[in-house]
Amino acid sequence: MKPDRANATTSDTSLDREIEAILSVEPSPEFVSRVRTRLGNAPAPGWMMGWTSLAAGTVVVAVVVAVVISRPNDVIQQEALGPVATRSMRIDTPSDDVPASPNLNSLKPPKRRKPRVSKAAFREPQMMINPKEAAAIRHFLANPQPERVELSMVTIEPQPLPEYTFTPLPTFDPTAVLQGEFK
Amino acid sequence: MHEYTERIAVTAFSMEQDLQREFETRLTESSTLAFRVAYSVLRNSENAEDVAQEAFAKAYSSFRRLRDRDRFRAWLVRITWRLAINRLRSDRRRSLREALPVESSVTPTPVQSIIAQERAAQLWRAIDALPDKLRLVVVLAGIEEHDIREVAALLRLPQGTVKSRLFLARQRLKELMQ
Repeated sequence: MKPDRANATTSDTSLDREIEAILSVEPSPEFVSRVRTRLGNAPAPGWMMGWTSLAAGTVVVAVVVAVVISRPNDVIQQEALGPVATRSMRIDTPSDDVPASPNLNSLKPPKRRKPRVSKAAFREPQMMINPKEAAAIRHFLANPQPERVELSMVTIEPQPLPEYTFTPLPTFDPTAVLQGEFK
Repeated sequence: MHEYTERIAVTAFSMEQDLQREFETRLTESSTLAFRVAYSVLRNSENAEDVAQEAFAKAYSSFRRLRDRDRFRAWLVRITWRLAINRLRSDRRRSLREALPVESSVTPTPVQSIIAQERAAQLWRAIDALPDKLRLVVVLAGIEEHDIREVAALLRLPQGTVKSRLFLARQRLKELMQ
């Protein structure tokens, strides 16, 4: 080995040692525990939140599915009947206040409304009133009688009842069966 | 249904615990590395610990995204280095700190101590004068006796690049130290 090269190698080695020496600083003994404390106090990291939310979501879905599956049949039937009643009332009941006018300018097809059933529909049965009857009641309330009728002046003669004759029922002798009359 | 849900929750929980255990292991084995990387930039134990803590917090928050867990140390080194550089740049009291005596663990006698401190300060000034890419190579080679292969792995560079950078860095340091 040449002297220059040997010197260079020696100086490299000593330089490396010096660098190692100045970098051989240790953190305080509490450093790791302080890091742990900080991580413990920090909000949950994204990956932890992900797993937590995934687990929570799965549980919620399972509960919802279990509730839907274990629902009694009568509730489902009510739910099935409810929208029909609502829809029929909406369609059949004419509005007396505002006459229905067809919107001729509208080119869009009428939107098909999804029937909604409120919670009250499940609690109380819906009142089904005949539309004609409802219209008659409204008409009666809107137009009161013009004059009162004095009922004491009205005389009603009793009508004679028609004559009614009873026809006798046919009679038979039970002992006649034993004697073979009805063979 | 409930059993299936419970099994998913248990699996998720155990995976979470595995990740936490793994991070704990990484923290234990890499705490000194992070501290020293930060110290090489900041040269103040307290600040270096702060930065290393911050680096671990950042690493913890996105640990799951790290696909290759064997690269944790390299990842941590990069995070710590970047944070330390940012801290140094934002620290307006840098000039004051440079005037303070450099911390050193080798202080046998008062005279030797003064000489060693002066030499260390000179070396730090020389290291500070290096460009970032040479400085990081020198620092990592000086920490925990990393060889060229380990430094290359930490920086995700070819070994030849590390070797040439280390050679250049030593040359510069020698020039600056004379």
